[in-house]
Amino acid sequence: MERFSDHTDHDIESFKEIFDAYYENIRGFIYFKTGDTALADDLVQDVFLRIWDKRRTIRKETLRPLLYTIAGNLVKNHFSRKKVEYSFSRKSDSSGRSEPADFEMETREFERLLQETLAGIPEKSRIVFLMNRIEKLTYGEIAESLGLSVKAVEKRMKTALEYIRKRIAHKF
Amino acid sequence: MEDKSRFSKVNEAGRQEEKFGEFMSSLSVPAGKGRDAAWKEILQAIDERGKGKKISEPRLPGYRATPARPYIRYAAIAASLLFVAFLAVTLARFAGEEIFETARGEFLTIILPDHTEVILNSESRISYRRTGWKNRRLVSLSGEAYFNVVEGSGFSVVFQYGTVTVVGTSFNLYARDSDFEVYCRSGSILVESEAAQLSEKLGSGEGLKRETTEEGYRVTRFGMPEDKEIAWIKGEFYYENAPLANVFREIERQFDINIDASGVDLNRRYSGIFRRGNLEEALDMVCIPMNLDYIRTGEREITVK
Repeated sequence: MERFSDHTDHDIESFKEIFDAYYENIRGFIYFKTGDTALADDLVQDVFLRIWDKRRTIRKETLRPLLYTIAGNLVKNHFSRKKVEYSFSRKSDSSGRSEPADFEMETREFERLLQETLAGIPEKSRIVFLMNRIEKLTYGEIAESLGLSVKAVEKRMKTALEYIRKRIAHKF
Repeated sequence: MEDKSRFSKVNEAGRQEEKFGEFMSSLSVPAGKGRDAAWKEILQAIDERGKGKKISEPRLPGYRATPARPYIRYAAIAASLLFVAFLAVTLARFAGEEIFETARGEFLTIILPDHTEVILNSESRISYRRTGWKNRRLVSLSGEAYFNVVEGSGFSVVFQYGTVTVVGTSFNLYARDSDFEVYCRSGSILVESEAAQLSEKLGSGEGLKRETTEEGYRVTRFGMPEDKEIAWIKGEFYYENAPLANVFREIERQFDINIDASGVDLNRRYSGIFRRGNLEEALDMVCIPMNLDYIRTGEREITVK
């Protein structure tokens, strides 16, 4: 890799480690904020390129919150829509059981409503909720990423769950 | 009959929740270009950068110091200002006025005669009169402070653009230049400002702020931003879409430094957090997301560009 003039293989290696460790999380974070897959693909690359540019000065302790802060600010600059729409994928059902057609319909309807419900959770609680439930991040990790206390994360989770509970009970 | 339908409703809700839990755990963010493809593109971009100009490499050696300044003149001005300040404080003492001031990088907790607690942020000033305190609890503030007011007769805080009046409560008041922001943590308060033509009552968890804008100013109410609102007491500074100018000024205050950002658009908005303690970390948290570089140009001087 001689052609790289201003960095070493070691730089690339440690950068790749960071990239692999955080790529999906940061992409997910941007998707949670925007509901826009193409935008998430673009911005997540910008985030990592910015980290690359600053590789000599960044401290390990600030890396995680920094990644999220960069992503948050990029989203603010590129995304102005207020309303978010999600189209989360379902992991394929490996159980193999097939469901009767009318049940299938009911399930699909239920899914649609729930995606809408998720999109309607107030932003701050929504992001925390999705980071926990979909990215499977712990409260501690979320708190560190967003510069919150664990208590604040708990509170946002509660807000999100209450919101969902209310909708579900109402709609069915 | 009625009982039975109610039961089935509850049962139904439980079933929905269970279904929801299953549903949530099966969701994933829709696939995009994929991590490997993204990595390849990033490598390409890095390669491009390597060929072009070096961006972040020679930081210190290439730096040119700013021309020497006429320090003596500044020193003379500073000395005379200090004398005036000293005089003012002495005179005020005679009039029974207590004054507390914090320099950059300082916090100060003050207990008022009625045991009301005040935490004063950096570069802030608070004053009150001991004489007549029992009849009239009145303090003046410029800067930022958190108040935990002991119950009793009216308690007022006067600032440049208005007054906050409370009964027994805790609240935070930020009043610098022509901006102010009040957040009521518990109890209720009355915010009055002739300059902003407002008189509004805030309950617990409610806030009000006045910001200077290009057209003039804007007053907005806001709800409780989780438990972040008085985080500065713990040395954490949160921003949501804040002008960069405010963020840099707070860093100057907290770290007792000067930031020269004359080449930067300070109206750009920042969302994030910095902490007291480590200056470089704080600067990273603000500058890197905003795509800015900073250099130390003196013991207490930072240039951002």
